[in-house]
Amino acid sequence: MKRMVALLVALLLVVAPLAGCGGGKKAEEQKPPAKFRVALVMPGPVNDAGWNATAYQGVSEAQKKLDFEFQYTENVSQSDAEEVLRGYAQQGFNLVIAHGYQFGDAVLKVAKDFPKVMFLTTSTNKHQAPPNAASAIADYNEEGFLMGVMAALLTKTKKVGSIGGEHMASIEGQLAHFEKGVKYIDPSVQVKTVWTGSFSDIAKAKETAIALIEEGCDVLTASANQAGVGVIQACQAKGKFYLGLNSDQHAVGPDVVVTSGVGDWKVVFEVLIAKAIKGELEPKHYLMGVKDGAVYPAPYHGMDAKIPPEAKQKFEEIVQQMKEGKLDIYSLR
Amino acid sequence: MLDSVVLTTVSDFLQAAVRMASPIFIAAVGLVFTGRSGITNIGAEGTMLMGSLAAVIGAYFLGTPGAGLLVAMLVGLLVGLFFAYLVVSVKADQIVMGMAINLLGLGATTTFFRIVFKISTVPPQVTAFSPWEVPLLSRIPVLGPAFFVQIPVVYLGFVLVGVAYFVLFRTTWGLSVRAVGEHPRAADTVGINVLAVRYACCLVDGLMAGLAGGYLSLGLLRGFTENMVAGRGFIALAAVTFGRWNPLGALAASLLFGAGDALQLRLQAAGFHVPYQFMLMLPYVLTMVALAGLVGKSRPPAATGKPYERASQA
Repeated sequence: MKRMVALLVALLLVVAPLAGCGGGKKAEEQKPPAKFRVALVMPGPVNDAGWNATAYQGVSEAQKKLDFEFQYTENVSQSDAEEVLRGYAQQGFNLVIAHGYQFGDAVLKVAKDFPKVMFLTTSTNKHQAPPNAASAIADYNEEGFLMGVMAALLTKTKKVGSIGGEHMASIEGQLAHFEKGVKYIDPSVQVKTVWTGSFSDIAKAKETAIALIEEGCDVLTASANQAGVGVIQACQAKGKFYLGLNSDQHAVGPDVVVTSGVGDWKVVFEVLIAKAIKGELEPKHYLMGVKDGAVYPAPYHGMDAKIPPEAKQKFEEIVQQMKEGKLDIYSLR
Repeated sequence: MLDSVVLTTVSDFLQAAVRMASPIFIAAVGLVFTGRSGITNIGAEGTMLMGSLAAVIGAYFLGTPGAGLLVAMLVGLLVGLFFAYLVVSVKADQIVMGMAINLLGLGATTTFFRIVFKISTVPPQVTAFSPWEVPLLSRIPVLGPAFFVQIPVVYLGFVLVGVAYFVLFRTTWGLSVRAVGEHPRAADTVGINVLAVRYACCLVDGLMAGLAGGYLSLGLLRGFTENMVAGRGFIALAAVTFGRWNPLGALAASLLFGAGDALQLRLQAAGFHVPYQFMLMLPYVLTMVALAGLVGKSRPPAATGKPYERASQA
């Protein structure tokens, strides 16, 4: 008797998905022409107050102005990326956005099999390929540079710290340009960089920040997605300044976050999704920075009262120079 | 003058070591009980995570971090009860159930966190514990600030380590626990209720894991982030193994791990030019090498991992 039941269940499990497949086909034939469908694949959680939140909000905001359907998957690890991307391509999405340098290789692989689907990888300039893979950067290097400038202007101990999460070329570049910005103002300021190896271990990030503060750093920045919250908490505990990256992190630590280097994916996605809907998104690299309004310092939210006026002035001068295209950070030594 | 700088640096380092070890040894105390009673609980990670979220939700709605901690311990207790039911009464495989608790923890906390606090860019604001200096003891040079300027939950942890040691090795009930772990059939024969003992140990374990998780989100940090336990539950289990299923040993192993982690961060901060991957490995390697050398062979209780079948009544 038990065997019969088991056999029946097994049979049911095999037949049911097949029935589902058949049903699906019929449904497709009856559907009206679909809206433009955009998928967003993110490496972390959507509410991380940083990297992933900006992407999610970016596409959501763009959705208010343009007409498209939007779905997303979060917490996608590098090893799962190919599966997720392939899934969206197979389901007939028109534009698949992979938010992060780490997805580049998976995108190139999947894009070859789906020439009708447009792919966009962010935070890289190495993963674009005809006919359908584009890449875009909201210039995080410029974000890093701007925060480096501010850090050098704020530091009294001549030591500043930067903390990276998982190690990847984009974050390394961002923190390298942070150092460049610091040296641009004052080459005598020491920049100490530490990697925690994790985006989720905020306790470790906090401990790292404490270690840097005990080394003498009085201004910190971090590019570690949600783990950045730990760094902000350390700054709050020890009374040091924090400069945000990727998004306006002031609300996380209203007493210590002076400003942030904002990479406004709203601007990037609005421009690029609009292009994609019109069929004009080309398989090339799109670099959008301060000049294009995609990168800018976050508002001070009153913190400018706590910083020396000369610092604020010099900082805003440099921002203006970059806006007018007069300062190209890539041509600096 | 140089001396005082060096002493402060060492003291700061030791304080960080205790800080980083604290969630681990608190969870480890509970795991010693389950381990000694013959149950392998790899679900500490999931339980801690649920404790972390419960603490934040409790503190947010009830107002004080203490209330949050109590909620965390209650949730931990319930998870412990659930785990006990699965491995003691239903007699399911302990490793599999432990993994299930971990998956449940990750999924449930992510879901509930978003339901309660919605998706936003700002973490919810809760009041957290602040470090409290123990009068007199904290003035001991070097060791004072390291051990006695911590969040009060850490002091509770130290006390519980002592209590656990006393209960396990100096009380009748502790003897029952150890007997159940070594030879449950023999223990049953002399009248010890094996199932009740194992249930009790799982409850204690859940309570401690909940406490550790709550301490993480309301003490070490301020607030909940998804997957914030980041593997500490597994390290707690390793600490118990390295500590030979003894609360004091587990404390020592946890401190060693915490010291290794604090050391590698400070070396990186000081600009030590070793690839950061090696630095991240340091605490794990250090703990393994030190304990392999010092502890030697570590034997788990003989009946670990096997569910107990009561002999059928004649």
